[in-house]
Amino acid sequence: MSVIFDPSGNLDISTDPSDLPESGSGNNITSGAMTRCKNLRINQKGIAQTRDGSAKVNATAIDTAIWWIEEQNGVRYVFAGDEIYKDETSIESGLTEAQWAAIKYNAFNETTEQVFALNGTDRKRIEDDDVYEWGIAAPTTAPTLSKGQGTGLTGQYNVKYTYVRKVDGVVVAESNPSPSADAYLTLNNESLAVSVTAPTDSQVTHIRLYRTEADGLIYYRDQDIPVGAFAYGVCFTWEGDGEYLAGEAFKFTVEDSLNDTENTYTWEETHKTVDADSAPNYGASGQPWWNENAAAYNTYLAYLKAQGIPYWALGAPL
Amino acid sequence: MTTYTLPIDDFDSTIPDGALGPELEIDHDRPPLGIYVFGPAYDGTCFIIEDNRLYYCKPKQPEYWPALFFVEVGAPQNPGVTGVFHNGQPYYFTKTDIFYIQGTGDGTFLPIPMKAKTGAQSLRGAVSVDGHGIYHTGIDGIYLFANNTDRKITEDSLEPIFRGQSVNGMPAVADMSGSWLATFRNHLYFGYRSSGFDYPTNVLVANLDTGRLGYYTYNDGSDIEIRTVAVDQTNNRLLIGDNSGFVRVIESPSYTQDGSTDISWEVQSKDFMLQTRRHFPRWLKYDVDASDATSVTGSLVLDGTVHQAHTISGERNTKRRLVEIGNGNRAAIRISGSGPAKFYAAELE
Repeated sequence: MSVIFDPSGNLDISTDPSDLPESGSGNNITSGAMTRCKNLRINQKGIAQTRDGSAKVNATAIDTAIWWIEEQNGVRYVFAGDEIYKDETSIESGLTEAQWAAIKYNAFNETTEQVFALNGTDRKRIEDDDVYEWGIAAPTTAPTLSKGQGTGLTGQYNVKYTYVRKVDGVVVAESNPSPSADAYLTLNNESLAVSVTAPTDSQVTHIRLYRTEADGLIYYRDQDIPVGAFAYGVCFTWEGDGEYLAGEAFKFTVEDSLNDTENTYTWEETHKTVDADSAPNYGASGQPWWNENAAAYNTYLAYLKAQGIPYWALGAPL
Repeated sequence: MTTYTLPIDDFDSTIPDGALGPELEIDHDRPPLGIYVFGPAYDGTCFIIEDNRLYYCKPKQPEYWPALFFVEVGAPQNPGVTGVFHNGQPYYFTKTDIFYIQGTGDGTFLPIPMKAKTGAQSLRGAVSVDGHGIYHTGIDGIYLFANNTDRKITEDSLEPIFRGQSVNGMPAVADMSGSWLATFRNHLYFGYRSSGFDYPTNVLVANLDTGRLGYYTYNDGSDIEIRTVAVDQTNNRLLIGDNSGFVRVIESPSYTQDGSTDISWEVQSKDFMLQTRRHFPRWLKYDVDASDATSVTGSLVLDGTVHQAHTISGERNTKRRLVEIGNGNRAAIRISGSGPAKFYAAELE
């Protein structure tokens, strides 16, 4: 009597090994049942072959506590220990050591897929090599209101602001709003100057201002300004370096920290409004121009005299 | 001309009231400090589990998680563990229950407890397979939830190891809290921890069509403890993160070893018993392709003890291998070895 064993059945360690299925044919007993099947691939009926092998992807070990692997377009983001690795190169550290979970997704108005991950303490958004907070925290500092130098608004106003992330000019994420200013500001055909707190979150690209209507309660979008990105052009590099040129001889302005200006003349530090219709000959200091510039005025008089023009014809004082 | 930038944090508003933009939205909360995220659903909703709450974001806006966008699922003392999508709908797992999250959006989501025998024991303790259902882990085995019924699929063939008993070289399950489930190439993988290890070193592999089971271990000089697993869809491969700081690709046809270590393997038949008499085997034949293997041994096991061992080499050399005199009530054939080999059949008489 022959007993034939071929690996066509199932691994079964629960059933009594002698009760596993078999079949008889003539003097042969055949069974495919298995009581051991270790490291063998049995996809093909009647064949058991050594399973496929394995290999390390990274030659050098990263943090040993690998919590999660998220593959995105062939790139591996590995959350291990207190770090996040991209293809086994650390791109973020100092995180909480806890079990992570992650998904891949992007907002409807953004074309770049992101990885969103959390671990109960940290919430991160990963875009390529950069790790950001997942979502944007609302500003916690209320805006400061004052009267601006423009015109146009009359009534009582208040303001809130948000932090915004724009991609290609489109708002993809926006924070909740800041607290409103402590009190409404009353304007009378003036503009509303608002001072806000700049964000510390590197993903924020803009600050968005929301304002009430006159005497209103509801906040509406007013305007966006880019964070740290008001651009100005210069012709020479040294114009833009934010420093004075070397040597006192070249310094021709004085910094006015109060008004955040650079002044050539001392009178520029004091802003005054002069009614041009009522005092057409008055200078910026509020004095007649001939008093402000006596030397030039005397030169002018000498010139008129040389030309034979009487002073009184000009209406100027003698 | 060179362009420079200056930080600015001041506005000056002169816009007339009628020219202002849309109203301020106040539901742009950050995501909750949850422990598991899954999604998106078909409408772009993502879900986060925090304690016994299931939060969801605004559809297609994964950075906006309104504070009141959540449903409470189950009791607070029974927090959520994980979640999966099945047939387009989210399912939420505690360690003891499964909840079907009915609904299509805010205000309509409703958790409905399913008639499940258990939930999921770990973050990776549930996986959805189209056409099958949801495979999930209980404390005593692997279950398949389908068509509103829950069936323990390890009951028939793997029960001992889930009851703490090591059988035929397969160590007992020490605990299920670090176990994981994954699917890859028509196979279900289940990693479990055994005594002496912190993370799973044992992997059960089931073919999703045939249901046939295999048992894998990985060793490249030392046992590889698998902390996490991920499918690399781009490169069509299965990745694991081990407990020594390495990401590894497993189940790769490109490799025949684990690192530079040959893969050891074994297979054993049932115990053949004759109705009325003992076995008196005289010879065995082995149909094994051992041409690429490092070593292959065929053994006759009588009454649980190896009675005769034969070294096997070459490609399907089925010559008769004699057996020393002996007998037993139960006879089994075991083939073991290391390195690439194919086993087709063995015969004893």
